[in-house]
Amino acid sequence: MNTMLHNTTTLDLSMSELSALVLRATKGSGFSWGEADEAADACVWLVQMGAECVDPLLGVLLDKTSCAPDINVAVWEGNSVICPLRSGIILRDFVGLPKGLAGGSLVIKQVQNWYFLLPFISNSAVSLGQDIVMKAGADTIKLFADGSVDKLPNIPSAHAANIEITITTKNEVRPPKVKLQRAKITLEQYEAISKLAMQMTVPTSNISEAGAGSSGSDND
Amino acid sequence: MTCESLNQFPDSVNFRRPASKVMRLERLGSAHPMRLSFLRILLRRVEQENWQFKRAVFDLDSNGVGYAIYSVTGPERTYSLVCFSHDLPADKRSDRVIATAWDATFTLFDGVPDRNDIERLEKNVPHQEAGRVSSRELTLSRANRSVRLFNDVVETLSQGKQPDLNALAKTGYLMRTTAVYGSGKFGAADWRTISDRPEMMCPFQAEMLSVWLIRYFTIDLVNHLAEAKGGDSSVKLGEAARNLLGVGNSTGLGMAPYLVKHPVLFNNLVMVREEALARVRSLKNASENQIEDFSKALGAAVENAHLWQSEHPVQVKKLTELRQGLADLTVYVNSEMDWGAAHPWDELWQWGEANLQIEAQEALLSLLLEPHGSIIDDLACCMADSQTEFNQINGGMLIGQMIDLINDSYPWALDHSYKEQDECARFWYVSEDKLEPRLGERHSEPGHEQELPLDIGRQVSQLSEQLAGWNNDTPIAEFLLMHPQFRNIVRRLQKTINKPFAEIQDNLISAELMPIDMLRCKLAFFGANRFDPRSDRWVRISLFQGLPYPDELCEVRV
Repeated sequence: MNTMLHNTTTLDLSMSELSALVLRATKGSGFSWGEADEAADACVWLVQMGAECVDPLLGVLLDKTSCAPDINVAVWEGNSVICPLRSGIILRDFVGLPKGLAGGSLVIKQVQNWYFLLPFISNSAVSLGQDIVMKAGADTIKLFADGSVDKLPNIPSAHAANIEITITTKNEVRPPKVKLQRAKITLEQYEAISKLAMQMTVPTSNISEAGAGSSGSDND
Repeated sequence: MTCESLNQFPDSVNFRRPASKVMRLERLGSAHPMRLSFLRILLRRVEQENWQFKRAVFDLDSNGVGYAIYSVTGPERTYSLVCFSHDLPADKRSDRVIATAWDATFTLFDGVPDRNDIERLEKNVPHQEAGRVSSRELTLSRANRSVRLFNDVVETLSQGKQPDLNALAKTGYLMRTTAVYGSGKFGAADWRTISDRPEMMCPFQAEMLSVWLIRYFTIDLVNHLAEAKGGDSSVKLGEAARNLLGVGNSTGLGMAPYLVKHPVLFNNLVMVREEALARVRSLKNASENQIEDFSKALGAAVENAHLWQSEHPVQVKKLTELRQGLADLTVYVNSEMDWGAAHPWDELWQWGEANLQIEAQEALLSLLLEPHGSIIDDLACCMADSQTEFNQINGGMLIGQMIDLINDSYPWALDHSYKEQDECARFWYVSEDKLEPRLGERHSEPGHEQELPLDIGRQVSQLSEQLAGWNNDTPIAEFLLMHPQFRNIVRRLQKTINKPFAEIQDNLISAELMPIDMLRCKLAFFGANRFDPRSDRWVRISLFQGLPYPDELCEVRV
């Protein structure tokens, strides 16, 4: 743990710090390396859009009840609530395929922490070159083909919502929005995510510690 | 951007080395600095743009405790190295990443720091990893004094004498950095946020600028301490002595995974170097000036090999091969080389491939580039990885296409039996105490469940085995739905399409792995020389040795 951090209540992280921290925390929570990479990208996107990322991420990583959806049916659903990270990844993988958004719309039932789906739907819009409208409960969000988003809603409570995703025609070209380049997070959030990240580390053995450096004196 | 439009040497394609030869670890671990190394790129820009240099603050007491600021100004911006100099007891001095105190600590500030900035930095920079810097800072680094040299040099200068040049040449530096962190580390600015600046577009330019200014600080520091000790009797370090000194650097395993984790950047670096070599080999004649410049570079390489010291058995053998190879090359160039041949530089290269060991062959590569700046220096702009998009997998790619990709681009990965004990003897992991990469022994140490995905060859092999049971016409998305553990390697395979130099084509978890080969490869791109391995995973080097100082290359402002 970074000792100097105890002197502050908020942290100003660079994007590469945020990305590395999320990667490790996601892997430490039991996801694969590939999924961890995508969680890191998703968090960077949320911060760039001016949104909160750590609480939605922690919601995903600490939730042990959600699952990946069965996508071999018209409406994606599962035996329990749906994980937004896993369903987001699958949505993107299948974005141009018949089981995905090739038909123009899709419903995913009971997505937990659905806010974390937004980066994946945004990226699907970019990939398709078309705007997408997402409805989650009472919220409607437009995600544009240029990678921007109309207006992000407040982070909902963690309970699940049905998600409707519909491709719309591409809108007029909008002026590019400035993407934020730093992540402001609280010390409490940092400690929570660091705790998960530590689960992918390994205690250094004496043999390894000795081997990590010079076999002779450090000084010359 | 594509570099194709820049290519005025379409014939060079016929002179390129295959990736299967270039990307073997033994050869990568024999790399030498060259004119397209990062520090050379920096110095060329500084000279061409006539940068200005200023020692803005030098506030150190007679024990060398205090701070200093050195600023350089280019066409558009100023960068300032803020140095905190400490009085470190000898028993606290360690190069290991576990150290918590250093003789000097540094940060490269984006602009000119004001009093508030200095106060903030003073509370954080001396603590290094335990502190925080901000988006106004581009690097964070520290250095220790050379026990062999530093105090002796101060003592000698204080008595009004110049130090023994042989001793300076043997060590090669007064201080050595033990880490130079950049690109977002510990709160610093991300490289992406400054990558649109021409002077920061090439990789690691902020880090190289920091080390270059640290080099000046080390000279300033010994001169200051000598004067504090000897008063009017003291002298400043002379030009001959200064030129023999660079900045040392100790590098351990932390740097090794970088090349694996950044395959596109790695591809670009090697491709640029290989294209430069191919351009030179494709030339139809050699001018007298080029031949003369080549001969000068060869002479300097012979001298450097003579001064280059190491006690590590691997490097001792390499140094023997290098010295013999350069001697043979000198004889060949002076007595047998036909400079009137159709492609004289290619003829020389082919002679080297037939007659020199790998260590000397790679030295010849660097020598061939030296006289040809006018046709290769423009390639530096193609080194960076400018990709900023989401790491998206193309789920629509068919499994048959993925199998073809593996067979065409990764045949080396299928050549190993990863289930054999020696072929999977190691595993890479992140250490709990320092969050640093480490290399564990799979069959005798715990922790392989948390293995880092650096075992590229094994992952490709396992993917290949799994795909064999699937229909070739099935989209890879269906496979990943069942096997999400392969997302990482599938993404990598797609990302490295048409990037032949993206992978080290060896087994990185083998019992035979020499991590110092990975370190040397990266450090040679930095421009390091005098590689001196201290174990199989720890190496000392020197940077900027023999190259101009800021007060020699820049317009000095008071």
